[in-house]
Amino acid sequence: MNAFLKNTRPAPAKVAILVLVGVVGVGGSMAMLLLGRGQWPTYVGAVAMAFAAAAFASTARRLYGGEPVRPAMRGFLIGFLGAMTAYVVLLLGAVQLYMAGLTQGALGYAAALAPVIALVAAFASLGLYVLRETDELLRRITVESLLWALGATLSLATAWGVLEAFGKAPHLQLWVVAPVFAVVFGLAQGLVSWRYR
Amino acid sequence: MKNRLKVLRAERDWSQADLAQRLDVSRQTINALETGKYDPSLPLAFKIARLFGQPIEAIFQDED
Repeated sequence: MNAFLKNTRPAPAKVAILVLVGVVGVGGSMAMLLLGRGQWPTYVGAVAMAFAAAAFASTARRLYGGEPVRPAMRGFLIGFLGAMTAYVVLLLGAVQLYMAGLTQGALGYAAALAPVIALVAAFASLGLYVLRETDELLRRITVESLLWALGATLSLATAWGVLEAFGKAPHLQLWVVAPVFAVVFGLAQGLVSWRYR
Repeated sequence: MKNRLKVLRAERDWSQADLAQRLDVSRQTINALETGKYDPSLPLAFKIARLFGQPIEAIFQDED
């Protein structure tokens, strides 16, 4: 019985969480760099992302800090971190190409879509996590948070779109939808987990 | 739904983490079950009943 308990070596959950938050932070500053040009949504987005990352980190640390990382979560962290790292690298590369004026031809399509492939991989790792997680409450928390993120992102995007059509809001490029979804998902994760505490 | 998980766990001198490991769930799930914030699925309820060697209705009480 004791051997069974000692069998699972406690993996460094805290390190994994810190790395995840670091990647989110990098993603936030990337969004800032890209949107840049001193537009106010840039700063709101950056602050919201930092806040969401901090909220996620504190909740995760309190909930899972002393526990071994579950296999499904480990798989997710590896897949998600790999995908987000690839995303940041490909995005930086694409921005460099754009700045150098090399994206006029066919290369433009490839450069613009390459980071998206990494983003698809990131979403896929999240979907696989839900499928592989054997803990029903964790699964439920993830799905509930995804639904919150879905509803909030669609509502915000629609509201902004209609305001824009009425000339009441500046134009916003559609790629901001994914970061907004990520921020709301992070916040929802914290809130939903807290509700089941 | 009320349950006797905390009592049964205390009788065996298990921590929430010990019980979590025996049921292959997270400690958070044990906590949510004990505080009545989350009701387990039928498979998990059977697993808990088997672990403690008691029928489900001796562990979970269907009342508000």
